[in-house]
Amino acid sequence: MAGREEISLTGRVVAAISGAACRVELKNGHRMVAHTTRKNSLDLTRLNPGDELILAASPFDFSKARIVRKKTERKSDYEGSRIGQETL
Amino acid sequence: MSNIKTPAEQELMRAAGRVAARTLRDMANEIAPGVKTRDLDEFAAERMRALGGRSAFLGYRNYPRHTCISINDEVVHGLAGERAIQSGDLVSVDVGVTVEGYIGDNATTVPVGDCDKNTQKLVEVTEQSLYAAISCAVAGNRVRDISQAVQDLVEGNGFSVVREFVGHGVGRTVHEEPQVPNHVDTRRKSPELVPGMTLAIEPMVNAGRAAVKTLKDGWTVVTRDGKPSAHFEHTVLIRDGEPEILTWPDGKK
Repeated sequence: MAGREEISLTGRVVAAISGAACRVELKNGHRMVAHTTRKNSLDLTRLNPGDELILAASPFDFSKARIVRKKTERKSDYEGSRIGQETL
Repeated sequence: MSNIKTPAEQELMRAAGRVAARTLRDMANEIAPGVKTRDLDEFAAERMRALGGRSAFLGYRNYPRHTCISINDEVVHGLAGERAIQSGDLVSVDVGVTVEGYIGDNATTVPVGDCDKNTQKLVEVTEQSLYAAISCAVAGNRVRDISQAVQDLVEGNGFSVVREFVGHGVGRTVHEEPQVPNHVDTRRKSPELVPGMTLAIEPMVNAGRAAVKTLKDGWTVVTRDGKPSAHFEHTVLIRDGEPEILTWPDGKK
C-alpha cells in the first residue's frame, strides 16, 4: 500500500523538545524531530544528548521520524557469568 | 583483543606453557624440609630467566613475589618469606610465566615427608578433579561442565570446593574471560567453550569446610577452619576434540 514504506535510520539525540519529542541528528548532519508513539511509550526523560536512537521515517517527509527504540550496546558474551575473584 | 587464540598465538601459548611447566617441575623438586620459601621463590625466578621467561605474577595487581607458595591451611597466593618448610607440610606452588608476551599458568601440590592419610587423599582427589575437569573442556561444552566435574568428584569424596576464587582464561594477560569456577551456580550464565580459548583450570580443594579468608597482607588466602587445602592447575587449549594441556614439561599431552 502506498505510504506504508518506511526508512530505517539511526540518529543521535541533540536536544529535548517536549516529553514526547526530541531533536535528532543523522550521521549525514540532517536534523529532524523524532516522536515517540503511544504504542512505544519510551520515556524521553531518560534520554541524554548523544544517545543513539533507531528511527523510522517516511521517504516523503524527512522533517520528522518515529522513534522505534533506543539503540543499546551489545552486552559482552561474558556478562552475568562472573562469580568470584580469579586466582593468580 | 580476542580471547580466541589464532594458530600462531596457540604456538606461543605452547612455548609459554612449556616454560611454566618446567619451572614448576623443577621448583617442586626443590621442595624439602628446611628449605625457606623465599629461597624457593628465588630459585623459581632464576629458572624462569634461564628458560627465557619471567614471572607473570610479579607486579600483577602489585603482587610482590615471583610465585605463590601456600603451605597447609593456605589455599592460594601464599607469599614467600622466611618460613622454612617442615616435614608433614602440604606445599602448593603456583607458577605463571610470560614468554614473548604470552602466559603459561600452572600449579601443583606436594606433600612433604609423611602426611596424614586424609591429606594424602586430599591431594589425590584434587589432582583427579583437575583431570576430570580437563576431560570436559571440549568445544561445545560450557564452562559449567568443567565446574560440575570438579564439584562432583570433590564433594563425592567429602571435601569442599573454594567458592570465592576461580580459574580464568589466560593469554596475553594473567586473567582473561571467561571465569572458570570450580563449583556450579545455576543462577549464573555459563559461556560456551570455543576452539582457541586457553583456560587456566585450577581446582582449590579444602579438607574441611569451603569458607576462606584473606589475611592482612592482602594476598594470602587461608581456610577459615584451619584445615589443609590443595591446589592443582593446568593451562588448557580448547579444541574440537580432546583438549590440549599446554603446561606439560616435555612436549604435548
